Amino acid sequence: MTQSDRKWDKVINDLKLSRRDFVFSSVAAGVLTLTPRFVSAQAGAPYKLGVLLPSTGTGANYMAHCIKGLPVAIAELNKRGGLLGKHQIQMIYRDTETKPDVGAREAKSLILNDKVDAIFGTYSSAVALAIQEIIHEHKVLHFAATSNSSKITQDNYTPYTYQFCPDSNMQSGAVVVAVAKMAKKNGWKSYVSLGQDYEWGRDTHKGFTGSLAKVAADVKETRQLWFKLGETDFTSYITAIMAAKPDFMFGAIAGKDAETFLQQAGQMGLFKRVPFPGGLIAVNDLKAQRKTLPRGMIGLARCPFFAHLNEPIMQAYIKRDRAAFGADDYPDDWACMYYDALGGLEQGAKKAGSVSTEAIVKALKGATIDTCRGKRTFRDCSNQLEVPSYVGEVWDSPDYPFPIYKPDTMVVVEAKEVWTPTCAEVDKLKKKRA
Amino acid sequence: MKSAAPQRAANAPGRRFAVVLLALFLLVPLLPGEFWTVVGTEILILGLLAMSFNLLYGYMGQISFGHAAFFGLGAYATAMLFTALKSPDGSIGVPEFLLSLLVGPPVAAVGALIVGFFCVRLTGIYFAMLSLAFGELLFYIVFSWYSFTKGDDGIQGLLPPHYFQDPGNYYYLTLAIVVVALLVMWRITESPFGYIMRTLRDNQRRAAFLGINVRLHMLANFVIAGAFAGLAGALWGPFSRSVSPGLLGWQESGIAVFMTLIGGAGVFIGPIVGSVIYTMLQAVVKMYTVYWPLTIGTIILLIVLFVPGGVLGLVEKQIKARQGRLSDGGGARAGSDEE
Repeated sequence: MTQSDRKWDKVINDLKLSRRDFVFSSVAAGVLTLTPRFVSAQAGAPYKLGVLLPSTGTGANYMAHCIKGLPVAIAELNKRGGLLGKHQIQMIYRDTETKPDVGAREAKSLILNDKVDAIFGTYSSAVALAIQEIIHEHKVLHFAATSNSSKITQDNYTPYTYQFCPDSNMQSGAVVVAVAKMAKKNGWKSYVSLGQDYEWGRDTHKGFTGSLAKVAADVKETRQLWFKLGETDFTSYITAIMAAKPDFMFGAIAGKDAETFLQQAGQMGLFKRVPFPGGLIAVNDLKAQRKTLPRGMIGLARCPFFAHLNEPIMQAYIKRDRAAFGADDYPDDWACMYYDALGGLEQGAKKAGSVSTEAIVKALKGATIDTCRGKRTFRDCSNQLEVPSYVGEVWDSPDYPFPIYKPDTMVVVEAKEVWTPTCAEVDKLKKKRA
Repeated sequence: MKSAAPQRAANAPGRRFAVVLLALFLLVPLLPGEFWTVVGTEILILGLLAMSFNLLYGYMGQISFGHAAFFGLGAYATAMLFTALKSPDGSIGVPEFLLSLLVGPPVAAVGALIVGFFCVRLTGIYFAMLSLAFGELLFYIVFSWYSFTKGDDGIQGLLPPHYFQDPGNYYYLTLAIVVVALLVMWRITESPFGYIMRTLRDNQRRAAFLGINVRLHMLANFVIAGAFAGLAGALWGPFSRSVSPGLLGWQESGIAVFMTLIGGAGVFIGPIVGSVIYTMLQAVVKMYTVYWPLTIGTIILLIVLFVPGGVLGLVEKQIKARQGRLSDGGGARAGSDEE
């Protein structure tokens, strides 16, 4: 083992100890970037990648694995030489605090001060919409992989943004497909909705109710309940749902709020009385609430690793993250999607034969890329990656220390089944940009 | 009340400092790169917000935790008119852009009139709590009213006319507006109305005995402060290219409070100096760590414990002490001459 190898191993071992603290991870990536052992003889200019994700505010718990995982993935890519085998990626992280004005400010700082070539981020759709204005003005490549309001790729479309996760309409559409099947099977006729009172929550709810009315006209929404982001006490909402006695409930809840709601609702026995299909239950929820999550509950995921165990990219990704962070630390949906974004950047540069923004933007237009979720194609008119959504029953697997979705109940709803049907409709939504 | 001549003499160091500060502000766009020009613009806009807050805190003696609501109202009023005046291709002309900026202060002033009508009936912690409650109420209205305000999404696409897209040009526009606003504020604070505010700060009961209509004067000051906060908000939208409900929230109000405490509430330009320190520190600290809240929390703690008058308060104290020593020394020399 050479000294450089020992240094590399030490860095990876150190990363095991870090929690969400990206600082050490980023430093590690930087150190590796500078290590001559990994720099090819034809080294090009470093490629600066700005990462805008929250480590504070709502959503911070969802982004923890991304923030610690990205530097490891980047370090591995740099070990291969970086983009095009010669452009080492230098990651620069900033906390958006899940606030649009902070996100916009940090995007400016990354672009004007750090001169980044691309930005990955962010968690909240409202923040993503704000930073899109900045990235479009400065013509900087932007990969979104968590914020999923359909406005990001439609109303607020910019050719510089590429979307790696299913948008809010696609997700609610996927739930509709699954719920329609269950409603028919169980004879459900009424439901109550509970949502986070902000853009994503409203957008998801609108998509769900509109789509369900088309496929199951006899199933009626009897009540809507909205709560403010960061709610800590769901008692009044839970009792209101129980009092309404619906056949099932629909939820547009994510982040820390989802965790809080699921815990409180589980304790109050809501799910024993009212089925809750389609609530966002990502891998991090399955891990964090392994003891309390009611089994048999129907969840929705965006990129669960257990759905694509046969994909070589997913296999390699799981292996590396477990090596870096511990055997139980499987990547969650969010980390998985940002990993695909990094892969998209690498493949985009390769297709373009260049790391210039315009060349990558052009190369990825309508391109098919290899991802953790198999071969996926960007929609030509919106840059939305054709990725599925996953609905399944929470179940204890003998293979993992936390529950996953029961394989034989899992419905994988493909993008084309549920996204805005035609490009003409998408184009109609796009706003004019000066 | 002090007579005009000694007052002018007492203000001389502050005036000289303000001129030096203005000269430095004029030079900011000459720094290499656009980043510091953008930071400078933020300093000016948030400094104006903090200055408007200090009309309530430093001059009237009431702390408001909901002052950013008027900043946000100004920002939203401008953003909405801006959006309405945009041409179909998404661009906006200079007259329309300037018109959209003008609408911010009056809308914020109307908001301040309504909120202030209730707030000025109370003082101290009750004033602070009521202002916070109204601030959060306005935040929630903007956050929830999707059909009108676009809710949590906020309003995007506030790209100013081509000439003002250049950070240097927008900076100078902001500087010009902020300087004019500060001159007007200075005039107000040095007018009889300004001295009534100081009287209300020091002893409201005595002011009432003197025949001053306490509530009316407090309300007038509340509206004036709200209008200036609205002006800062109007400048913020096109600067940030978007507005969001967080601009009305208590955390934004907290920034104005922090800036004022850092710079010094007892000195006219204290909040601007506080904005320089806060914003530059934030820009630099965030380049190296995510622990910005910890950093600013520590700074505020140290300021409150060791420099309660803020940075300029400390400087003012030092200058006065020096002047005192000089006059004592002069007096001693004069005394010895006499001997």
